[in-house]
Amino acid sequence: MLEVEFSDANFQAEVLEEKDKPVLVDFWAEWCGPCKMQGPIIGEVAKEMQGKAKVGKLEVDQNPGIAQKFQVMSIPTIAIFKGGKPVWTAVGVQQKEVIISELKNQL
Amino acid sequence: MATPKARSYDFVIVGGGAAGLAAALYSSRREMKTLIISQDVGGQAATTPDIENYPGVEFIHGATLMENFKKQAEKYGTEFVFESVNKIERDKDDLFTIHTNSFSVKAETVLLAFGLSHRHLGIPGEEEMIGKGVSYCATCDAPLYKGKQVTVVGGGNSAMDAALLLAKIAEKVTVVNKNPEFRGESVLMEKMKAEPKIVTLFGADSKTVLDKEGKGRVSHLVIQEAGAENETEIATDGIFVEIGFTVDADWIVGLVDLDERKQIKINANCETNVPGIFAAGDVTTVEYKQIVISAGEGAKASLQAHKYLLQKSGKRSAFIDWGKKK
Repeated sequence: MLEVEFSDANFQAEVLEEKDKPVLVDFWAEWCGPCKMQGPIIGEVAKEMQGKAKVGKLEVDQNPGIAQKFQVMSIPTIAIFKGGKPVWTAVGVQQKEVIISELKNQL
Repeated sequence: MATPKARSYDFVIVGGGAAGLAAALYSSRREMKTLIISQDVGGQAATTPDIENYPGVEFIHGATLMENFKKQAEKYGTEFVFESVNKIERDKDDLFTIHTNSFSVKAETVLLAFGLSHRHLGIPGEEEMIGKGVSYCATCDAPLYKGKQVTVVGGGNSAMDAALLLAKIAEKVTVVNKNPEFRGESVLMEKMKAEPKIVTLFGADSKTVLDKEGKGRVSHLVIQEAGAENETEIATDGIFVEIGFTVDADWIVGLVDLDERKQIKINANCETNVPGIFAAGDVTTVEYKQIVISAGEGAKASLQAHKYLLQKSGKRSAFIDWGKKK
């Protein structure tokens, strides 16, 4: 699997301190139907953007700290971080093309 | 861009819920070249946590059931594209052109199966705060409100379901119900009464969603209680709007006949008034909105579309479902 598993514990190092690449975070949970539709799309994004961007998922139930810190109040929420800051956020299932084009804007 | 593999199809299905996916299973198995265009997989059913009334399946999560529907249709060749359809045109050559934001395809037959959409309150602040505290999916978002104060707007089964689910997670649940009583299953009403975390305000009208602290998230819901002189502000971290569903059919006005609730009018065989355009599931005039009914209607529409195609190509209906073929 190309996606990184983000957590409250590794978020600082993996996302906020990532210097070179934009980082895509898919906030999701097991009990969320629409998140299950988003999951495979994120997988495809990870494949297509391999080497150019870091793509990963954060399960909000196990990692409530980060979800709260970034005010994630609906899932799925997709966020792109650059230089430690969120630069793009979208709520609800997002299409692959939209995510990739937003990621490319941050390259 | 999300584009389909081919430029024309036998059967283009708009919507990927129970009706659309079941229709695709039937059409693909009859070797109709089938494309589903949908914004999501599974529609409303996918956001239903526990399904216990789908025959033959004692218990299943809605998302899993719908994922199974999709896999089964894809197994027989259905193609699935995530997009939203914004226009359907009837061409001179009796074909249809389906337009989305990123592509157009031709179709011999079309199935409208895009279901119902969540009804919005239509009050100031609501649209701006979607995803920032305003939610239409309690099963999706409830767990994000652990230990928080939440508000549910509505007075039917889905509002009660949402309130009871939230009561397990949030600290306090205020239900704002426009009517003087709940309307729904008595089992749910009893559970509501027994739940100490739930407070219901009856006869209360929702007026405005506020972000008083300017933090880009919901802080209050302003309501008008029956008989009260002034409006009241309820401090809340989240507002779950559960006031039912509506047909989002403005884009097909003029294409097919709709009833006064904008449901698509169909006959017993899922035909609309336009030959070649079929409709199935919650978006139609069929009274009962249930997964098993939508699935059945989708299958029916698919068989009818198949028959239409055979007749169009000059062949007699190649199959019959019962009785003896002469």
